[in-house]
Amino acid sequence: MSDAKETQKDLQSADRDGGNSQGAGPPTMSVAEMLAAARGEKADGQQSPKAAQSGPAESVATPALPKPVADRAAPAAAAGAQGTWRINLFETVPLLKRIMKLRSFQFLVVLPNVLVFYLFFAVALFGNPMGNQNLMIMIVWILWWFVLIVFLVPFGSRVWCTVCPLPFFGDWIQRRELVRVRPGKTGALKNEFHGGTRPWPKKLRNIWMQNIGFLAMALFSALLVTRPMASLFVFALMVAAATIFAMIWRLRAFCNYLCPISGFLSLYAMTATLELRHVDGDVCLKCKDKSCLTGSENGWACPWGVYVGKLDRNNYCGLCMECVKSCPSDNISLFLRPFGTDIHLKHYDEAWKAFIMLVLAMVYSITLLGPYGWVKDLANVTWTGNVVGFLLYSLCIILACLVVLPIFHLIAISAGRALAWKEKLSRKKLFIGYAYTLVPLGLFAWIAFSFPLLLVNGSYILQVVSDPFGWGWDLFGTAEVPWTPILPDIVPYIQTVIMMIGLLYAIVKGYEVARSLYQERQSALWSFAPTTVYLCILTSVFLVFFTG
Amino acid sequence: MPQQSFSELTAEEVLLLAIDVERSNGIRLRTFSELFVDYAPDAAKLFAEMADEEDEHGRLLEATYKRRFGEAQRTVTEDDVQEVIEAHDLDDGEHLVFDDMNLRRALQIILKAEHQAEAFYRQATRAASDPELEELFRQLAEFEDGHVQWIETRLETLRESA
Ligand code: SF4
Ligand code: SF4
Ligand code: SF4
Repeated sequence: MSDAKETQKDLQSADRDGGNSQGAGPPTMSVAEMLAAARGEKADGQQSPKAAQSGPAESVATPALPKPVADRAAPAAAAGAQGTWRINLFETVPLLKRIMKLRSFQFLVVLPNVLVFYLFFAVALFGNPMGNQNLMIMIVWILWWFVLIVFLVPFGSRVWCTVCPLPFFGDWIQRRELVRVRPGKTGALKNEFHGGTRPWPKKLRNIWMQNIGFLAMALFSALLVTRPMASLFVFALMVAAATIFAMIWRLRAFCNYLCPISGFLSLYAMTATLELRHVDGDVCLKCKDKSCLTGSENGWACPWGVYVGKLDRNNYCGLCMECVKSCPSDNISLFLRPFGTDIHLKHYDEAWKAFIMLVLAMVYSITLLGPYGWVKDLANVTWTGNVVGFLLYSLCIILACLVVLPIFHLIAISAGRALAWKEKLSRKKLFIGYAYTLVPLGLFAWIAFSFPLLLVNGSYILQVVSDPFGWGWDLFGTAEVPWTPILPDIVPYIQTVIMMIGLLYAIVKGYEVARSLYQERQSALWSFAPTTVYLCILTSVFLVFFTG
Repeated sequence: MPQQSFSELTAEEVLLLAIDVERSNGIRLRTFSELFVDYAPDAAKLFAEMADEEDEHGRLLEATYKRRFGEAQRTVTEDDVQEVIEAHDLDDGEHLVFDDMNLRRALQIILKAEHQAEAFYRQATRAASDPELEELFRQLAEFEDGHVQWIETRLETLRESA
């Protein structure tokens, strides 16, 4: 500390002496401009993707466009983090803000879901054991899955987490409140928390467990969609885990690190046309308490441990709206933005998530929709009793997700790296960076998989809502609706169009990633070329399965 | 008080603002220290040390103010000016989700804020038309430079030991 102490002494003596003027040169910038230049930030207070990637030490020296601070507060339609348009929904629809600010907001939207969820438990226990005659299977695995993939995630980010019933008891245990907030002090957090207050283990602060959880669930997908008791078991396990985690570890450790649904949501929420972000970056810089993260007397600390002041992607924001209430400066809003705005994966576990999700979209399409009876037999171990076949099937999927696709990816990025030899980037940077291309492609592959699922099985849904337990009821007069697949002949065409849109987005967004990694346009093009080819090949494989 | 531009402040107001900046940074850094104490203890320790340092500087500036202007009758806070002078901040929204805070990153975060503050005061020194203000800015720049040197030395030591 000696240097700093010396400076203090200097200041005191300089103060006493009156000091010497060392100023030189006329002023060429306004004070606001100097500050902006000194901060090396973009005008809206957010770092450019390049600055964000280059790390703090490099960004210190990065000059940037100066702009008067007064102009920085984002107007209703303003430039987003990547320089694209975005619309401040709280400003455009003030009623929405009022609703989100209600303390009871989340409770009111979760409660009906909790009730329906436990009704499903009853249906699984006492209803028809045949999957296509059971309300739980039809609503959860067909309708919910379809709505989640086709609408909620692409347009609402993690809005499912806003209404999710799984962490209900865990939150209740930690907060001892359903609606109100308890100001107080729990470590760095400014709320009174109960239940688990331990930090989640350092070594597990990643999403590998989520990856494995989702993969494990997928291996048993054939069982889950045909046996209500199997689904009941998995959901009961998830509720129990979410509750036990809340009793041991602080905040939403289950959601952050284990929930398999979160794995899906966190990855594909990056593409969503909705984001929760701060409005004015300078307000966050000046903010002393960081209440969005630490909580306040008006809102709970962020359950996901996210700091909105520097939030630049959707992955881990569960849209619970606590920060909207706790921010003392009213500096958080929901924004509409273009599809696929967040384009940066940050870690290997996220890259592998992209591999796993893409392969599983293919596996589901083959197993659940494809004409390959023998694959179905291998997956349906409880029907066929073919344990060896099932193990083989599982091994193939695991290898495809964890080894084969990553190797293809590595080959593509290595080829690109060699082609862009003028600007050498680390393999790691390219591997993780270009893995993002599998996010739009994967999402559209899931959408392509989900469409026929609903079109073919939709009539079963009509049946089970009228007769949820399979006890011969006919509540809405639809119990006897015959099984009617909708437009089965044009399904492959719909899937082809969807996959082509996915490919287009993957290429466009991948090129954006390339441009953010490389200084030279030429290098970016060369580097991304092999990945483009591999994306086309992947899409072709999907099309073969969908149309074959 | 409606937000003013920094360039409109008097010497007295600049000093009051500098006091508030130091105090506010003390609060921010202490919060960061508490946030990371469980899984990045060395970073947390650094944040705590820097918080003490900012508090100490705040007290020093208060003494300077007292000698020059007597007992402070009012305050000028960061919120009263449009610009951000020095605000320590995390550099990622997901630090607490992932295990990516460490001593080096904490030093870099602090260095960034100190650099910005120093650069700002140096620019302000050159821009000042009033000699009294110019001298005050120069002193404040020196003040921040002390921090910068100290952090850079620590980063260098860390690099060498790595
Ligand atoms: S992360 Fe999983 S358990 Fe948590 S709210 Fe989202 S879906 Fe529900
Ligand atoms: S509490 Fe509000 S102003 Fe403070 S850092 Fe968070 S979003 Fe920004
Ligand atoms: S950032 Fe805000 S909305 Fe998102 S999870 Fe945290 S508190 Fe909830």
